[in-house]
Formats: sequence, structure tokens, C-alpha cells
Amino acid sequence: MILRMAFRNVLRQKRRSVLTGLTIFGGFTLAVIFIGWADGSYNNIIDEFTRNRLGHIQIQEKTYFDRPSLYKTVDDPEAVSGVLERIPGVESWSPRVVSAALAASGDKSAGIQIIGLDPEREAKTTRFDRKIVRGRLMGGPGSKEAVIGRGLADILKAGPGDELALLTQAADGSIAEDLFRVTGVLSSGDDMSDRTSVHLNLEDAQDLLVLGDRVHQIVVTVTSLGRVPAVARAIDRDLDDPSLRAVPWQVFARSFYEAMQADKAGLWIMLVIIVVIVGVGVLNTVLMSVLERRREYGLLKAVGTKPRQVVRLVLLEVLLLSLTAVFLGALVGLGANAFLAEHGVKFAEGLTYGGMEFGTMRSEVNARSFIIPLVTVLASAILVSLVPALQAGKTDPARTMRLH
Amino acid sequence: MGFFIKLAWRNIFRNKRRTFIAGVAIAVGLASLIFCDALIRGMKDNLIQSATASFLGEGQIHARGFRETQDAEKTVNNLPAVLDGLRSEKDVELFTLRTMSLGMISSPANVSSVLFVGVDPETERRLSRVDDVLAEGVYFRDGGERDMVLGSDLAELLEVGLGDRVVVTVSRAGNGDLAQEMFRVSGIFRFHIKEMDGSFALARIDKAREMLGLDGGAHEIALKFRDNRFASDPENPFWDKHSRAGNEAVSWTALLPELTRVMDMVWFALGFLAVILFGIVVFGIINTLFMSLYERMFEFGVLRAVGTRPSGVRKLIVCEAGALAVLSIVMGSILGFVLTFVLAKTGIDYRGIEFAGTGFSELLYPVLHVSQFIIYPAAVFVFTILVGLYPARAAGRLTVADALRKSL
Repeated sequence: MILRMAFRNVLRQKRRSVLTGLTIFGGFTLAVIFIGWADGSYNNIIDEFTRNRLGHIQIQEKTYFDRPSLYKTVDDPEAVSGVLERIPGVESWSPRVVSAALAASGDKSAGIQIIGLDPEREAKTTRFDRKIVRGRLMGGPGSKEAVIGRGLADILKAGPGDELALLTQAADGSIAEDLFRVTGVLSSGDDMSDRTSVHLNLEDAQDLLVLGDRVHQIVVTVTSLGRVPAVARAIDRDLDDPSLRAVPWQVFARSFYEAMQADKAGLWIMLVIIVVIVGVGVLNTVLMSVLERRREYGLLKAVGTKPRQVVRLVLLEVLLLSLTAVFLGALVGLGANAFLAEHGVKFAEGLTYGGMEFGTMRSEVNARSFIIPLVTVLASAILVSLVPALQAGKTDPARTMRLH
Repeated sequence: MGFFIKLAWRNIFRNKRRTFIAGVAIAVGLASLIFCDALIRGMKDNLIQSATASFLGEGQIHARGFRETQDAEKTVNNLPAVLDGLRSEKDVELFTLRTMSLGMISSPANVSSVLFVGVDPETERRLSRVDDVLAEGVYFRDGGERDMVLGSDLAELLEVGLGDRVVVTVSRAGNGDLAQEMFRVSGIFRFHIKEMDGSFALARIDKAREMLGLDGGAHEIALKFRDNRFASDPENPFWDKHSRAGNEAVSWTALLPELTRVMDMVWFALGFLAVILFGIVVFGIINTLFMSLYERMFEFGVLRAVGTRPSGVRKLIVCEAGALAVLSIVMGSILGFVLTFVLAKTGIDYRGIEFAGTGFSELLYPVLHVSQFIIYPAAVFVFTILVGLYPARAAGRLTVADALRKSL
């Protein structure tokens, strides 16, 4: 009976209902889009930044991160690959060998860092192939070809076709020395590392350094950024090897992580503000509509409605309105997010840099972008209507009927 | 018109409760806009600072080619004239000279490659943060000619502590001869940034010049500006003006191209969010105003019944919207100012528990700006009036009988 009355009341005053409903609808929808966009775009930025350089997770000997050394290796990369294959959420991985060396070309020489990698795996993992700005990728094992950083190419005055002599210490203590041919020059986006990097085929690097099958790091990418901590834990658990450690990007890209944390904190604060604005908006509409209708409630009381029933009536009305508004808002808001996630917003035409794609920004459809606005909007609508509802219940028929 | 303004002003104070509810809704919206603007400014500053304040500076001047090759001979050309030029720039807050060279550092226990930086302790202290993140010891001591401040990871690798000796080897400019010098560790810094903690060693610039055979020269001038937005604009004529005589002046955006791209993405994302936020506030205003005016159609009917012309009712409603806007703007501006001011003083502590307790204190500070109290109040005022036009037109069209009957 009360429910039917509430229904009728909502439909009777169409303009007022539409207005109240619109406030809730607008606040809810925009909040859904806000969260979806904030999450999506920030994950987008972090993903582009980490994936292309160092991956999301690196598996290393446990003290390698703090103090890298040629001798601290992952001894059985095959076994690690086997484990990675079984962990859900792992997208791709690529083993690397890293060592300091001296490089000479013509009469120029420089201290450099050898990075041995598997070009095909690396292309899948960190889009290595897209970073080449001149020339081409190195060939397969035994090709003795090298891709050098752009800054290093300037320092050595070397380019594709030039010969490069590398001199370093091998893992067996001997002096390692060999000639390589430069086939390409790359720009990773990090000028500092581009001044020192020489990329070789993984097996060539292992031969040069007498490492056998051992590698220094295995770079892992994960299907979605949110799963990184869980995947890192899963890797540690499934490897079950106390000498190895899975280091997530939050640790090895720490200063970037902290800068992003500050930004995310800012977003959270903005979210709180939005919730407050929406709450105040709902309060304001409901309060006003109840205050303006005191006469009506007086009439109800006069014909014998109990205070409790009046309170229930007001709350039911608000609930009906909110549910309708939230339902429509969810359709529109999540729809907009799905659209923005699918197509993204282009803000610069084809801007790529060091393999990163900067042109398009995407939204994200996740549970949080629906639940947070849902809870806050419904809770604030009900809580906020409680005051006017109780007031409506207390209306004194004689006094309010006289009011105009 | 004066009459309607007076009437409107009286009207909004007649029903204080309604005015208060509507006013608060609009004021909260305005305060949010002001605060979010300040917050976004703070986030920008924070990102720029995390990139530039540690050591880099907001801009740098080098001899052309130095950045690419790190060649010790490529010192800033015509240094005295460049420095005079910088002193006459009112946008430059301060600058500091550095020498930079790759070398070797050795202790009795170990040897490592090092980025050996000669600095002027006085100006360096004000530009970079090395002195703020000392984990041990002191920054340069007065008269400590051979003092050296180095990164914590490097100190650990070399197994040296305060007061211990280290030897730095670099090749001299010109002939490439090796020069060796002994230093004493006076301070150890820890940025928690691997590249810096593991490879930077700072000495007094005079000593470094002597070793490198530079005779008063410098490889790098790091700049700090009064307003970091000045430096963030690579199109700023400042860079061209000081890129003369074989030197190049570059903004941090050119020094860190990758981070610059990331920040472009961040600005874009934030811009989109700001639009959404504005949309929510505008929505609130529309709704508040419609609600408070449509509930009073009866009243406007009475006005019409006693002979007010439709144009009069229209004017009255628009004036009321304006009066409400003025009231809300005063409330909202005060609320926004107080909120922002307090948080700008105390800072917002955002560090999660994950890395709590490490690193130097990083807080997020909203940034107040005069424009926040001009643009947003003006936008709210204009918008409220615009929104008021619609109910005003509806009220002007009311037939008296309808209006009086409807409200029952």
C-alpha cells in the first residue's frame, strides 16, 4: 500500500521527480566515468612506462638488485620458464644477460653495458623491435651483430655496418674479447641508458661472457597492471628457490612509482570531493522537496496516516527514485566507460616514443568504478532523506494545513 | 532594475532555510572547483619536482655536444658573459656551476666507476636536494678542501664510512692524461634512486677544476626558476636566447624526454577529469536552482495576480538567481580558501604503508593561486544566471489561475 503510494507520488509530481532523479543520475554517472577514466588512464601511463623498459617484474638472483654482479645468475632459466608458463596472468617473459664492458670502434672507445637478449622474445615482451631508429635488429645466435643506443652511436661515431670491439671479463675469470657488427641504433626513451647500451643476441653474449645457459634477469610482463603484486608472489612461491627473487616494478622503478602514488592520492581526494558534491546535491533536492510538501504530509496525517508510515513513504519515494536513477546511470556510465576503453581518446596523432604509444588514452571498466558510486549515492540519498523523512513524520496537521 | 534587485535580495532572506540549502550546495561546488584546481597544480609541481629538484635542475646550459659525448674539453663557452646574462634574467631564481666527468673511484676495499661532479656547495645546496637527504655525516664543511659527498650504494660498495679516504681518477681535459686525487668522505646521501646512490660523488668545484685542468670553466650550469611553469615550456624564448656562442640551454623537458611524455599523458588525463568535475558542479547548480524556483511557482502566480508584469517576474527570478550566486560565491570562496590554505600549509600525506619510513618526507601540497578566485566564482555566477533564465521564462508565461491551482 505504502509502496503503491510512493510509486504514485513519484509519478504524480513528474517535474520534481525528474529533477531529483536527474541529480542522482548525473552525479552517479559522472562518478562512474570519473573512476573508470582515472583508473584506466593511470594504469595506461604506468603500463606504457614500465612495460617498454624494464618489464613489470624481474626475476633475479636475490641480491642482484641491490648489488649487481656478473656472477649472480639465474642458473636454470629453462626451469623458470616452465614455472612462468603455468602462472596465470603472466603475459610474456624474456631472459637477459647484463655486464659491463669496454667498447671500441675506430679510434673511439667508451665504457658500456652489454645487454644480451633474445630479439624475438624481447619484441613480444618489451616491444624491443619498435625502438630501432636506424638499421635493423641483430640476427640469430652466432650472427655476432649488435644494436647500440643512440647516445653511444654519437660517442663512438659508429652506425650500422661499423665494427665494434668489445672487451670485458668473462665469468670464468678470463679476458673476453670479440668483434661485433653494428646493425642498428635504438632509442629507448631513456637517454642515460642509450649512452651506454650495446645489445647482443642472448647466446652471443653468453658465449662472450662464458656463462653457459645462465642469465642475469628474466623480464616478465603481466596481462594487467593490477595483477603484478599477486603474480610476483605467485612466482616466488612456485619457483620455491630461495636464491631467486621476483622484483616488481614498484621496487625497481621506485622514483617513478612514488611520483605516480602522489598523483593517485590526488585522484582519491578528488573522488572524495565528488562524493561530497553528489551527496550535498542529493540532500539538497530531497530536503527541499520534503520541506515544500509539508502541507501534503499534514493532509496525510489528517486523514489518519501514522507517523511511521509517513517516514516510510518518504524513504520509499527516495529509494525508488535513486534505484531508477542509478540503474539508468549505470547503463550510461558503464556504457561510456566501455566505449572509452574500447576506442580510447586520441589526444595526439600517432605519437610513439621509444616503443611507447602515447597517442591514445583509455578508460577502464572495473567493479570499483561501479560499486563506489553506487554505495555512496544510495547511502547518501537514504541517510540524507532520513532527516526530512523524520520531520515529515512529525508534521502537525493543523499547523501545516494552514501554511502556504 | 534596482527595485527588483532589492526585492530579490529580500526574497532570498525571507526563507532562510531554503536559501541556506541551495547556497550551501552551490558553495560546496565552488569550493570543490577551487580546491581541485589547487590540487592539480600541486600534483603538477610534485611531478616536476620529483624530476628536477633532486639534482637535475629545471634547466641546464652546456657547450653544444657535451650532453652527447660527456667530453671533458667541452666546457660552457664564454662563461662570464653567460653568467652575466643569467644574472640579468629576473625569472631565474638561482643557478649553480658544475663540472662533470666519468672516472674511477677506489678505496682499499674496492673500485668502481663514478660520475665525479664538482659543485659549488653554497649554490648547489639551494638548488639540489643532496644536502637534504644525507644519511650520514655533513654536507661540505668549511675549509674541508678535500671533502667528498657520495651516494650510499657507492659507499657500501667501496666499504667506506665517514672520514675514510677514497681516490678519484679522471682524465684531464686537453691531453687526456690521468689525474688522481685523494678525498675524504664527509657525507653520504641516499635518494633511494639507484642511479644516483650508486654512481654520484660530489667534490668542491675548485678541486675538480684543478684535477681536470679546467681553469675556472664548468661543464654544466643548472638553473632554477621562480616559477616552474616557466621552465616546463620548451617553446619559451629563454632557451633560444641563451643558446648562443656554441652553448645550448635546454629545459628539463628536453633532458628527460620520456618523463615529459608521461607527464603529457598525465595532464591530458587530469584535464578530462577536471571537465567531469565541472560537469558535476554544473549539474548541482542546475538542479538546486530549478528545485528552489519550481517549488515557488505558486508565489510567482500570486505576484502575477497582484499585477506584476511577466517581464517583472522574469527579472525578479534572474535577480534572485544572481543574489543566490553572490551569496554562494562568498561562502564557497571562503570555504575553498580555508580548505586549500590549511592543506597547503600542512600538506597531504599520501604515502602508503608499503614504503613508509623510508626516503625523505614527500607530501602533496595544493597550490593557491589568485586566478582560482577569479575564474571559478565568475564561472559560477554566469552559470547560475544562465540557468535561472529557463525557470524565469516559464514563470513569465504562467497563467495566474494555473499557478494558484497547481500548488495544492
